[in-house]
Amino acid sequence: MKALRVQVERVVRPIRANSGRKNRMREELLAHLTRLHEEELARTGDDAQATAAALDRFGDAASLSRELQGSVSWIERWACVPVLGWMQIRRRVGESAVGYILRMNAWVFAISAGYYSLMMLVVLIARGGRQRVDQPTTSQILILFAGLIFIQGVGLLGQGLFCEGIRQEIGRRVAAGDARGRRKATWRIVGYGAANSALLGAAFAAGMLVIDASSPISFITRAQFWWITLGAVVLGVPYTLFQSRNWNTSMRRFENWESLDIEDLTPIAGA
Amino acid sequence: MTAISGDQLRGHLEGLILAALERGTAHGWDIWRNLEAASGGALALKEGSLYPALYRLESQGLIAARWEAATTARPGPRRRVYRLTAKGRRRLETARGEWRQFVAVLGNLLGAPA
Repeated sequence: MKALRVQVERVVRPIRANSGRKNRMREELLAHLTRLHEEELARTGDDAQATAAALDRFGDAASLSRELQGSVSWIERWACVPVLGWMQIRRRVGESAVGYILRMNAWVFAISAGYYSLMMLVVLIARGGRQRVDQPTTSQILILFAGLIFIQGVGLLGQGLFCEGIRQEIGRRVAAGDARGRRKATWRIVGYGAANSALLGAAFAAGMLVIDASSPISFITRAQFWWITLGAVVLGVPYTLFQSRNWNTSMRRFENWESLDIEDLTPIAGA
Repeated sequence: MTAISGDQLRGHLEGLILAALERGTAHGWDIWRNLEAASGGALALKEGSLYPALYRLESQGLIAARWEAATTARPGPRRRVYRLTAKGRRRLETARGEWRQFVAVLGNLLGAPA
């Protein structure tokens, strides 16, 4: 029921804690609130009244948030201090998964580009006008950082899209009415998992190749590049399958919490 | 019966939870119902307040919790089952001793010995 979920999200969202802890709070509070609602509904027979009564019995969102925040250790609170732009990290209401992935990728790209540019500047300034034989040239340094930004961007974009594919297939597998539908969804999960693992392995190996190309010392060959990629697929597929068992129960359960609009709702009586 | 407010209960809720769990494992919902029944409905607390106390107790190692196994394929909120740990049991005994002493001292001071 949306009003109950909104109330839970009003309590949990402001808390500074890791996402695992917050998801646990969400689920447990929602379970209690749902029971309260069921009890009130059985008593009053009216859904709106039952909701209002359940929310009243449950408590005010702001004070519950404060109490729950007090149950989180100071280390975790500190680690989850909101930083500049933290509001932008959350998936917006109505935003598509692909749109969200692209937006996040653009943020990571912008931050990385700034970071690498700064690093490159420091390297070039530190080196000064002199260049020893064992040091990379300016163009090699430029290629190194540009290459890393590109590989990182492609890797994150691909990973986001493949993970979204896995998430959707998990939903289809749960919703499938027959064994054939479940089997097809499972194979697609394996496919996305293999593609994702291959991409990660290739991104890692490509990063090494770029570093190799800009370094006077050679430490990776093209054959090793393919072995790393293949190794990632071999390790990645069973890992994806194993993880998808957890995603099945947890990802679907929590996927919509962050995008739930907790402001744009008629004020709830008693909340 | 006069209602006991949240302010009056401050500092005692955790001990009450430990006492409720002494009888066996329970979900948050059941813990609350046990406390409510034992108090004869005198606890005037919002039910959500139970969870911060449960999380504090768990982080101190006084209680332990596990997710209840799902009984249906429908994705819905699961519940956590709490149990008292050995450390929690010792803390409960300490809390009981402190409470007896508190009641005895205040009872004497107020001229109403326990």
